[in-house]
Amino acid sequence: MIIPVRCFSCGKVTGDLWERYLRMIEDEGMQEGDAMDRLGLKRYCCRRMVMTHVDLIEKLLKYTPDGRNEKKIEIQQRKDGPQA
Amino acid sequence: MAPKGTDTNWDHEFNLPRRQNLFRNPPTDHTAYPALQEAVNPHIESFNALFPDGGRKGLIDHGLAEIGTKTYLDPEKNRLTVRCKAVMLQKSQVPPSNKFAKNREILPAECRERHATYRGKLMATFEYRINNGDPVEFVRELGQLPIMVKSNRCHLQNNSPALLVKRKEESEELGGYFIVNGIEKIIRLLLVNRRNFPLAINRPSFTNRGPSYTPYGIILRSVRPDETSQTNVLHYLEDGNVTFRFSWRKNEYLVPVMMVLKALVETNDREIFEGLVGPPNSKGVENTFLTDRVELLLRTYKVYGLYSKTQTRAYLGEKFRVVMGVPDTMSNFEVGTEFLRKIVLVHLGCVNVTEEQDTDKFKMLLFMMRKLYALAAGDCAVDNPDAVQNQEILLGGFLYAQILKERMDELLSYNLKEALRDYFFRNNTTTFVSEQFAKDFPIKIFRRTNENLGNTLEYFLSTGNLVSASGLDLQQTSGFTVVAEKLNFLRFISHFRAVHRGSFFAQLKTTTVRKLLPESWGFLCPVHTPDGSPCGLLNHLAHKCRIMTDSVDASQIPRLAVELGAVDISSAATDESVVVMLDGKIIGWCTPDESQRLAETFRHWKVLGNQGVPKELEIGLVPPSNGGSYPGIYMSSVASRMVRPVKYLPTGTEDLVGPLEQPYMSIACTEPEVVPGESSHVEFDPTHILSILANMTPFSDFNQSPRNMYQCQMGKQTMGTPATALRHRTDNKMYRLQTGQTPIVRSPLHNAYGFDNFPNGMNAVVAVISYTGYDMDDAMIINKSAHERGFGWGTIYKTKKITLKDDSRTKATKNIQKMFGFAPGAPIKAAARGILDDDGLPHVGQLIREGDVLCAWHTVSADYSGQLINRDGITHFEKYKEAEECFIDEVRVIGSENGNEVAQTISIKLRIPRQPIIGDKFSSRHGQKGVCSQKWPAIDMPFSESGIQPDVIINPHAFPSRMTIGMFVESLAGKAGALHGLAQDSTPFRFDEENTAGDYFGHQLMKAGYNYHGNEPMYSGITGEEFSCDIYIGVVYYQRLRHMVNDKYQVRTTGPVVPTTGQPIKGRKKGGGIRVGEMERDALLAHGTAFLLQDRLLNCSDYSRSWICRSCGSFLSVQPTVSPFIGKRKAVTAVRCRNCAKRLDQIEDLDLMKVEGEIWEDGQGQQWIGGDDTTTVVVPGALKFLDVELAAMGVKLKYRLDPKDAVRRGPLRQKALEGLQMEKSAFKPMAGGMITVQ
Repeated sequence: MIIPVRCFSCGKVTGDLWERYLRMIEDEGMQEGDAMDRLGLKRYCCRRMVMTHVDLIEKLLKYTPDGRNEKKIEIQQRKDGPQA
Repeated sequence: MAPKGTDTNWDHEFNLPRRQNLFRNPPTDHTAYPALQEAVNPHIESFNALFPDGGRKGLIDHGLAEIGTKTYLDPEKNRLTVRCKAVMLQKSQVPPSNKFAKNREILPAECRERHATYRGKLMATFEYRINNGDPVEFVRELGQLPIMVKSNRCHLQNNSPALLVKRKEESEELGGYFIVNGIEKIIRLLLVNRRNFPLAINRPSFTNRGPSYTPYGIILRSVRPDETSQTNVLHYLEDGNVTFRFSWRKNEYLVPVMMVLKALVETNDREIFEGLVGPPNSKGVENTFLTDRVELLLRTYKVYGLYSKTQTRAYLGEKFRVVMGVPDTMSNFEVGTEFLRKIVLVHLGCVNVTEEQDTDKFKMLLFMMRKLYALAAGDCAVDNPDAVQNQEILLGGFLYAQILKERMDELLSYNLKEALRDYFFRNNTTTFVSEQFAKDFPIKIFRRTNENLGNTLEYFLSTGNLVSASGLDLQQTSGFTVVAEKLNFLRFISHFRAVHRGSFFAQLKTTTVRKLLPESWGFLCPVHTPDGSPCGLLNHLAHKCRIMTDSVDASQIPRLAVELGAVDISSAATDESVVVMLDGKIIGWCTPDESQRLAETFRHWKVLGNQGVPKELEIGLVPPSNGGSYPGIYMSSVASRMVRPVKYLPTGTEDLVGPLEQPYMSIACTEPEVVPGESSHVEFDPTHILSILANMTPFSDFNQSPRNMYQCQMGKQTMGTPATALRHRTDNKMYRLQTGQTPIVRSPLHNAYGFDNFPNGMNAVVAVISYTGYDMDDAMIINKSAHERGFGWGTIYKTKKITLKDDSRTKATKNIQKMFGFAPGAPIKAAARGILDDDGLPHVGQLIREGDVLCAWHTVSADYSGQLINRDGITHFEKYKEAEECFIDEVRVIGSENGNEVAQTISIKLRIPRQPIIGDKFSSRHGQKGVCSQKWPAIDMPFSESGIQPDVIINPHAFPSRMTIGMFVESLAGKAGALHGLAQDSTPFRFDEENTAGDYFGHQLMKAGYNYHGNEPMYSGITGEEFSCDIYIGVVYYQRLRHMVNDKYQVRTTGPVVPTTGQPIKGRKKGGGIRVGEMERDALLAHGTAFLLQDRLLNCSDYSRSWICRSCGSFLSVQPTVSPFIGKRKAVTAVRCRNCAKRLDQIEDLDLMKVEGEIWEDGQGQQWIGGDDTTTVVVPGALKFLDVELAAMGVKLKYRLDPKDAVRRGPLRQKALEGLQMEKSAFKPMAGGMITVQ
C-alpha cells in the first residue's frame, strides 16, 4: 500500500525515502542497490522495506468515487487561485 | 512504425519503474500479463463457442439441428411441425421498463455491487408449419441467461486495462466466471472419459448385467458436434456374443450388437465375418479364438430372423418407439433410423445421417468388437480410465451448452406437447387449422410451457445442481459450480486451473482414482492437490497445459493417410494391420511398420505446419506390443483435449503434445538427457510440470515433497490482497493485508502472472533460534516493535445485505410495506441518533459494537392517493449481532432494476481491523506454519553485530524432521538480495551438485561482508552477552494466514443447553461448549483429577437438582403438592411421591382421625396421604432423560440413595469403604456419591 513509516525491525524512518528512491530508479536509472546506498540504508532490514515495497496506493487511487477527483482539483485550484 | 505496445515479456527482476508505470497508467492497448489471461481462457473460449461471432455455427446451432423438427397432431389429424431456428443472446441491458437510465448497459461491477445477476436476454426464433402450409416464424423471449464475464456477450470483452479500470474492474480482470446474485461462480472443469475413443475396460460390476455377462467391455463416449455426449458400451458375453448397451433418459437398454450392425447398413454375415476377422488369406483367420466366437455370434443371431436393413430397422423402431418418444406419424422404419441417429456412435453423424456415415458407424462398431475380442483373449491390455491418457476435460461453457440444449429439446418435445394437450382440452373446438390457434400458438400456448431457460441456468449456477432428464451422460448431479473465492489472488486463479475428477469418485472407497499416475506428467501438477478428502481428485493444471476449445481443421488427414499407404482392408491380427483413426472415425488400415512411418511423417508436417496438418493435432501412435494397449494411430483434432508445448528436436521448434500420445513418445526432461536416435522431443523447462501456484514456491526442489503440497494449500489461505477494486466489490468476507510486499526471492513467473498487483505477504527478518521458550512446537515469536510498526497488519471486510422484502423468491409485489428511515414524527432514541444519519442509514466511518443499530426502518402503507405513509410511528432497527467491533466502510442503497421502486435493500460493508495477536497463524512459503505465541518486546530481542533484530523467531526444531532446505536457501538468498539490491531467481532445478545454491548465495553474502553460511553472531537481548553459537538469520517471505483466533476462540461457563438432556449445545456461534469426549475423560481420570472431572462433566454440563423418592427410588413418581389455599403460586411447598402415597378416596374404611401423616392434594384436587419420604439429589440431566426413555420402553429404574439400602447378594464380603460404592453405569460417573444404580 503506502510505504511503512518505519522499518519493521529496526525502526529507521523509511516513510520519506520512497519518493526519492523511486525518482533515483525511474529518472536516474540507478540500480536498486546503489539507490539504497545513496539513501543511507545500511542494514538489510531497512533495505528490504524500500526495495520490496509495492506502491499499491497508485492502483487504489484509480477507484476513487465518482466526482471526488474533480472536487479535489477544484479545491486545489481555489487554493492556487489567489497565488497565481 | 507503429507505436510500441505494452511489453509482455517478464523476468524475475523487480522492474520497479515499469510496475509503477503500469499502476499509474493502465495500458490502453492490451494487458501486460497475457499469461494470466491464457490461464483462464479455456473457460471464456468454451462459453464463446455457444454463440460465436462471425457467422460461424455455435454449439447451440448444432444442438438445434440435432433436435430437429417436432411433429404434433391435433384431434383431427392435422399436422403441426415446430422447430427452433435460432437462439440469440443479448448483452446485459437495463430492461425497457426502466425509463430513467441513460446508459443502458449493465456492467459486471454493477451486478456485484447490487447483489444481482449478470445476465442478458435470451431469445429464440421458432418456425412452425401446419399441414405442409407456409412456414410461420415468431420470436419468444426465453428469460435472462447468466453471461460469463469477458466472454463475447460481455461488455468487457477485449477491453484494455485502462478501460477496465474505468469500468470499475480490476486492471487485470480475467473473466471466466459468472456473477449470480452478486457472487462470482465458476463452473468446475471436470475430467471425463476421452471422447470418440474405444476404451477397453475390465469391470467386475459388468457381470451384474445378467447371466453370462463377463467383466469385459468397450466403452466409447461419443460426442456430438454440440458437445453433448452419448456413451455406447459393448459387453462381452461368456459364449462370445456381444451386446450393445446405452442409456437413454437415465434408463439402460441392451441390444444385440448384430442387430445394430444389420440396421446400420445392408450387409451379410460374410461381410461382418471378414470385417471382424479379415479377408480369407489374412493372418486373422488363423486366430481360432476369434473365428469360433464370431461364428457363434453370427449363428445365435439367426433366431431373430432379421436379414435386411429395412427389416432390422423396423424391428428396432417397433421396440424403441415408446422409449424414443416419437410422434405417431412415424413408421417403424423411421423410428429405427431415428434410433441409430440419436444413439449409435453419434459422433459419426447425428443430423441427416448419410449412408456413408452409417458405413462409418458400421466400421467403427466392427473395430470396437475386434478390440473387445482381443481384450477377452488377453491379446490387449485394459485401458485405465483413471489415467489422463484416456481422459479429457469437460469445459464449463460446453456443459452450459449441454444444459441449454437439453432444456430446449425438453421445451419443444415435452413441455409443448403438454401445453398443446392442455390447450385442446380447454378449447376442444379448435384445431391447428383454425384461426384462433394461429393467434394463440405463439403467445398463449408458449406461455404455458416452461420457457424460462434463463432461470434454469441461473439455478444451475447458484446451486451447482443439475436438473436433467437425461443426466447429460454425467456421473453426478451436483457440485458442478463453486464460488470463485477472492480470498487472495492465488486462490482465485487456482479456481480456474482446478480440474475435478467428479464427486462420484469422492464417495468411492477405493483410492485408485486418487493415485498420481505418470501419464499426468506435464498436464496435471503433481504437487498442487489438497490433502484430506479431495486429495488426488481435485488436481490443478500444469501452468503450460492448455485446453483446446475448438476443433482444428483436419480435413486433409484422410487424404494424406491414404497417400501414405493406408488401405481399406484389414485383418484381426495386429501384427498385420493396425487401425488409422481420426476423431473416432476409421480412415484406413496399415501395417505396424507403416504406422510408425505414417505417424512420424504426420508429426513432421504438423510441427512444420505443412500439408494442412495442424499443430494442435494429436497423433497417438500406439505401437504393437505383446499384450499391451491395442495398437493403432489414434488422431484427434477436436476440442476439450489437453495439450502442452514441448520442443521438437528435429526442427528445434514448438510442438504440442496431448495426453494420449505422450506415453508412447520419448520426451527428454532436460537437454543433457536427450538420447540420440530415441528422443524426439525435449521439455522447454522442467518446471512446466508444475502448476502456477507450485511454481511460486521458491527452491521447491530443495524441499521434502509434502511440504510443497502444504505450501500450495497455505498459499491459498493467505491473507493477501484479494483485489484493488475493493471499493466496487461486495464479497461476503474479504481479507486484506495492509503492508504487502513483493518477495525478494521469486521466479520469473511471479512477474509473468502479475502477482505484484496482489502482494501476498511480507519479507520478514527471521532468526532460527530457540530463544524464549515460547517458540516450542511450531510457535513463533514476533518482535513487538515490528508488530507496532505494521508488520502483518490486516483487515477483514464483511458485507451485510439488509433487505426489507420478505422473500426474494416470490414475484416482486408492487405494494411496498416497509421503508428505510426513521418513522416520521416519532421520537428517535439517542443511541440510534449517534450512529444513524437522518436517513436511517449509518454514518460511514462509524464505530459499531455488539448490539448497536445498523439501520432503521418503519412500516408503510398506501393512503387514498397512493402515497406511502407510516401509521404506527414505530421505528424498527437492524442490529449488529457479532461480538467484534467494526467500522462502517461503505453503505449502498440498492433500488430495483426498473428504477421506479422505493429502495428496499441496502448493503453495508463493515471493516474489522485485525492486527496480529497471539494465536494468529503465519507461514513461510515452505509449508512451515506456526502460531504467534508472544509479541516479544524489542528490548529483549536478540540483536546482531550490525544491530539487526529479527521480526520473527522460529525454533530450529522445525527443520530436522521436515527437511525444508528450500527455506534455508530462501533465507540466504533473501539476505543477499536485500544487501545487494537484487531480486533473486528461485526457479527450481537451476542448481546442481557442482554449483550449489548454498555456495552461490554464500559468496554473495561474503561479498557483502557477511558470513558465507548465513550465520551471524548474536547477543541476548536480556543479558547482552553473545550467544555461544552463531545464529542463522536472513530474510524470508512470510504469509499471514486467514486463520485467526478472533474467529476461533470459544469460551463458555454456562449458556444455552439442549432442552432434552440439559447438556451444552454445540457450536461457537451459538455460544456452545467444547465437548469433553471419551478420551479427554480418560485422560482426566488417569490424572486423578476427579474434581476437575466432576466440574467439566457435571457442574458445567447438565448439573441438575432433582427430587426423588427414597423409598421407591424413582424420579418419575414425585410431584409437588398443590395447596388449595395459596392458589397457583410457584413456590413448591412440598414434594410427595405419588407412587408411595395412597389416595384417600381409595382407602377403605377411612377414618380421618386415625390417619397418620399429612394429607396433601395434587393438581386435580385429589387428596393423598403418605409418600413423604422424598429428597433432592444432584444428578446429571442425561440420567433423568435416560430414565424417562427407559420408562417409555417399560423398564423401571430404581435408585438406592444409601449404601444401606443396597441389596446384598452372594456370600458375605468385607464391607466397602465408607461412602461411595459405584457400580458400572452406562454413562458418566455420577455426582453426589449417594446414588447407585442397580
